[in-house]
Amino acid sequence: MRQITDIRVRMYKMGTGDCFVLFFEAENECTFKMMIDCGTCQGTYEDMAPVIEKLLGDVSNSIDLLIVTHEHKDHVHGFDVCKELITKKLNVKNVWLAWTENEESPLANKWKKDYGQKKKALAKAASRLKQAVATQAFEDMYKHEMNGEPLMIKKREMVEKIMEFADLHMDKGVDYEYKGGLAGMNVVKEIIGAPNKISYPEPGSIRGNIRGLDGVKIYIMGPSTSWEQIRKKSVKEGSHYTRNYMDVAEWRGFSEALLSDRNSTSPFDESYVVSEDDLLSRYQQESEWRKIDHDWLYGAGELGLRVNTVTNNLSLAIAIEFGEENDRKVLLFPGDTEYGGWAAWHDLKWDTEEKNGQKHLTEELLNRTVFYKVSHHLSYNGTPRALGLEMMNHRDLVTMCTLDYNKIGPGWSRTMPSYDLLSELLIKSRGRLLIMNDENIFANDENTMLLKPHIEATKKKRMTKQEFYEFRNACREEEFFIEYKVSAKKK
Amino acid sequence: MKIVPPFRKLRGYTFDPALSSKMETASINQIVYNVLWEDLEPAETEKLRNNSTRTKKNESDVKQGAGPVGEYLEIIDYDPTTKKFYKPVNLNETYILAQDGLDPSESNPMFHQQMVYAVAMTTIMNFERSLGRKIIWASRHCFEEIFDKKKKRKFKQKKEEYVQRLRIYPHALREANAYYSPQKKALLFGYFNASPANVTLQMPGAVIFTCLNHDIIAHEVTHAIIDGLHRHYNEPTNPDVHAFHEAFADIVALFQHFTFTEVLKDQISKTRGDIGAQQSLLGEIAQEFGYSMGKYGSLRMAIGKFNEEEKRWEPAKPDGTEYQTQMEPHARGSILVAAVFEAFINIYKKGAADLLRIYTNGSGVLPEGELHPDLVNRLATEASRAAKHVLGMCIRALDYLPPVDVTFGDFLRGIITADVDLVKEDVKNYRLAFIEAFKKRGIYPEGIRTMSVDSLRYRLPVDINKVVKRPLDIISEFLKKYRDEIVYVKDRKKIYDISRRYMSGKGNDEFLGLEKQIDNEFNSSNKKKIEAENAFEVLTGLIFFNTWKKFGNKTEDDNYDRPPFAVQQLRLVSRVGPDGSQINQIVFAITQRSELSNTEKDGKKKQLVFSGGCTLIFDMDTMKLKYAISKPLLDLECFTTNGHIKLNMTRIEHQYNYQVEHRNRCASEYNRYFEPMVDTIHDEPFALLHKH
Repeated sequence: MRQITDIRVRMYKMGTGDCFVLFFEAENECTFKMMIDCGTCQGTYEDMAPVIEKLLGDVSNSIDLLIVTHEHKDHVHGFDVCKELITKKLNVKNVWLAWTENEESPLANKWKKDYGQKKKALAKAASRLKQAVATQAFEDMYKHEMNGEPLMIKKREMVEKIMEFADLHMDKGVDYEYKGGLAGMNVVKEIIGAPNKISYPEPGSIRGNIRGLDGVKIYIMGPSTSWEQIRKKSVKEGSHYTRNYMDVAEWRGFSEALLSDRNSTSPFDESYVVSEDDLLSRYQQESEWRKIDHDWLYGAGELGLRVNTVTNNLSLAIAIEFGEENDRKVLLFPGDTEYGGWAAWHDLKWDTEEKNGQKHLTEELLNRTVFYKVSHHLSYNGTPRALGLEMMNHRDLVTMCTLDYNKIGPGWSRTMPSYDLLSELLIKSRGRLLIMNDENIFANDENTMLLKPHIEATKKKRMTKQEFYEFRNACREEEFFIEYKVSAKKK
Repeated sequence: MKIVPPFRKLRGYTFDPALSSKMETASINQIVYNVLWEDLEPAETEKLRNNSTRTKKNESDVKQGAGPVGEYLEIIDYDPTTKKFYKPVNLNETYILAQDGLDPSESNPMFHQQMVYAVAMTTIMNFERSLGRKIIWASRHCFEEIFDKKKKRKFKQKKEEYVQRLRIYPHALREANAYYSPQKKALLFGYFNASPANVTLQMPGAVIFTCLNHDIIAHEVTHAIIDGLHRHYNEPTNPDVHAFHEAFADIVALFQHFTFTEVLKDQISKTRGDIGAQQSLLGEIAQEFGYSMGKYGSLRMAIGKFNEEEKRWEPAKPDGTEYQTQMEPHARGSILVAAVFEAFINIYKKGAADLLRIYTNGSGVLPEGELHPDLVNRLATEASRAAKHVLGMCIRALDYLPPVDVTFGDFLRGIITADVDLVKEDVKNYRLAFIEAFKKRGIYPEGIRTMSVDSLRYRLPVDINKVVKRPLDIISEFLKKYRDEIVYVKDRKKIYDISRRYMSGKGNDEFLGLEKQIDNEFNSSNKKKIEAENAFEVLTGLIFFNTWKKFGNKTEDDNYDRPPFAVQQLRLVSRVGPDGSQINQIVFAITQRSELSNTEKDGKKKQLVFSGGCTLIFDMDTMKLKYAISKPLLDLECFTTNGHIKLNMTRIEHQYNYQVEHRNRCASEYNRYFEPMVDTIHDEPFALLHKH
């Protein structure tokens, strides 16, 4: 048995979204291939097929373990769009999904049900808004207003962004009826994972002794089993605002109002409702500019953010450990886990007796992280400061980000990257930041400094000559991928 | 002869329905709001369609109308989420009148209408009392299609429309939010399912109505009132503007509570032990009851916190750097709330000191057991008086603020100046209480030498009325006419119409409004006159001469206009101070904007609308200009020293830096996602501001 000495991490370039293959090598011989996710936030068959063909070739149509982190389009879209290609050619031996995807778990099912309603409501609100802003009545409302024109444009832009959230969670269907998640995920569950290839590793468990992965341990960090942790939104550290956003549960009435045709969603007794349509018709005849028929639907914007956070925190997050006894190195693949999820890792009860000093194992793993797949495409919420980045203080830290401005939604490009996070990551990693596509991405808020030269400058400033060359030699870029090779021993 | 009753008595929650389910607070959670009597009519068909025409009452309409509809408010209980109308309450119904309105109830939408009506009217009356004039809502700016007979085509003409009533939709949203919509001149209240942090106080899943929360109603009505007074306060040109809007609304909600003496009595009687507890008690009340929902409590978190170890509430200790470091509107707003609250506490402390000395024989130690009811009464009166005073001082300051780009420092100067005007001798040191509280938080107004009453109050050079004689004479003559015409007018629509005519009369009826008068005065090519009257530009910091075209907007034919200016908010103010002295003033504002663009290093063009403005206050007893509170477009120093005309680069840079750089950084996730920051036009700015 030969120990794994190197891991080549390959990020495939399909647009903002994750698609990775990890080649585990023992002295240059590949003994295990792991694939993590296959998605992009937008893309057609024509866009994606060449990349996936390349991937299939690279892995010789065989994957030992497929991990699908969470049900967002930018992580599973490829399975849907290139379904034929993947299911026919690719031989997947095992699939890991988050425990929340296990249909036999009663807890998971309860969540899924409540939560599915919210997704559905989001999609419904989005489609109703889309219809509403296309009508003549909508234009009439703004026609005579000062600044009516720009306001109308604003509203439409907002609707586009709400659609973006809806799309992220649900496939376009007839009138946005919820069909139970994304088609890409169903492909994984029903075709790729069948029969009986899927397992749902529990958070806190440690997987070792996997054939082909000698000397490798995989730590399952998330998703948490506590709903409290999962729905927790990022809180600005040091802020005294503890709870000034709406919790997902508080959107119940909102989704009921959207999904139910019955009167039961009204909070009042039927006797208080004016029965004649008379008043309603009067309201309809009223001056357009004061009407409020659709204003409540814009609440979907905030709901979208919440649903997005929850789904992100349902990510199957793993830490891969390998290397020599006294120098175990960690590769961290958090999916899109946000603040609440990270916080939960630190409360995990790990499945081990070993204790390395006083530190919690999670913190210890973060300390030894030499490769970090940046969570949630460099968004502010993706990487917490005190509970995440500040603990990743290994000198060799390399970061990889799946961000591409040529393929990204309009709302995302405003929140990603978080410039504060970006600059801290750059310092922590000494400029070793690999980004899917650096075109048009700036390094600061003011948009005066382009990212690419800034990265180069940081590398020169913060790495020794030797580190600089080592890093350069470990990286490889081709048309369809960027690769970095993590080695147990320094060469 | 029938005598009109002074008040309509309406029962309602003091705070929020949640407190009615707690033994210790249930007794104080209901009060009777004394709402100024007005003839309420349920709306009739025609009135719903058109605000200005009134038709005769018709029995069937009365039954089915929306309501209540009064002079200031129209409550329309349409729920778009269920597409249902809820039965309107008829507050004139005998049985309802006989028992001071409907019983407070969460499950009766008709009570909800009564509650929003009562609290909104109470808030409006508090403003009118302090301002000494009628509240008028922000007017609607729109276009009117006019058919040009000569050219035989339609064209759009700008129009400003009077909005008589603020519209209130008590059940308009399905979320924990409520907001004022400047476009619709309406308040939209939401309801949602509770997911409480503390399940002992609220049932999870229970429906919570924002329209039943005193604080939320008062907060949102205040947004609408400020928008009516200062409509440019929607434009975030510096980090204080939005924060000011939020903080002010919260201050009004907070201090309105303290004017309810019954609540104070109950709480004060519970205090035992040391006198210090007296003050912290007020802080605790302020906070505890602001807690329940979203943003409404969050502004108050800065006042202090409950110390778990010592089991007592402690006021927060400001470290003097907050104002420099907190940029997010809510965090920043809370600094202002905390400052005003501290001023209040110190005023109360002074007022109650003698009472406590008498009661404790000078020892300062309260005896065991309950306080004497007489003392409780007196203390409550003292606290309530202090609260009224502080609220009054804050509201009056609104007339002494610049029309654009307001800062907390301007607000402090406004408070001091307004108070100096009204109260000749500050025997109880109220002003000092404010100055001290602001100083502790590092809020220093720009351009003053010391933090003293004397340098904070605005002042004009003694001879200004001589130096700028001609324009000021013309204006004050004109204002005299305005005063004569408006002084006894009580009808709000008439006040609006007359004031509008005096501001922007176009001369169609040979009557020239202020805008035209100023324009004509400076349109002359008489060189001599020009030199003599530069002084008016120095006074206001604005640009009036046509020769200075380059600062304006590019017109269609590639020429430049002089930056357009507008006269706004002309109003007659008469107030009586506590010492019986009366002030009669006329206030108006001139605003002006210049469109700038800057080409960045990356070749992108960035647009910036740069606004300036000046509030002018004339004393009608002496017919002289008393104050000019300016945010200059011009670089005045440069202008006065060497006669060079250039724009005020310091202000431009401040605004640019804030809008382009800082704002994005401190914005909430929601705002970063949905709202581009550099824009001046905002779609539902208050809805956005409330999201996190």
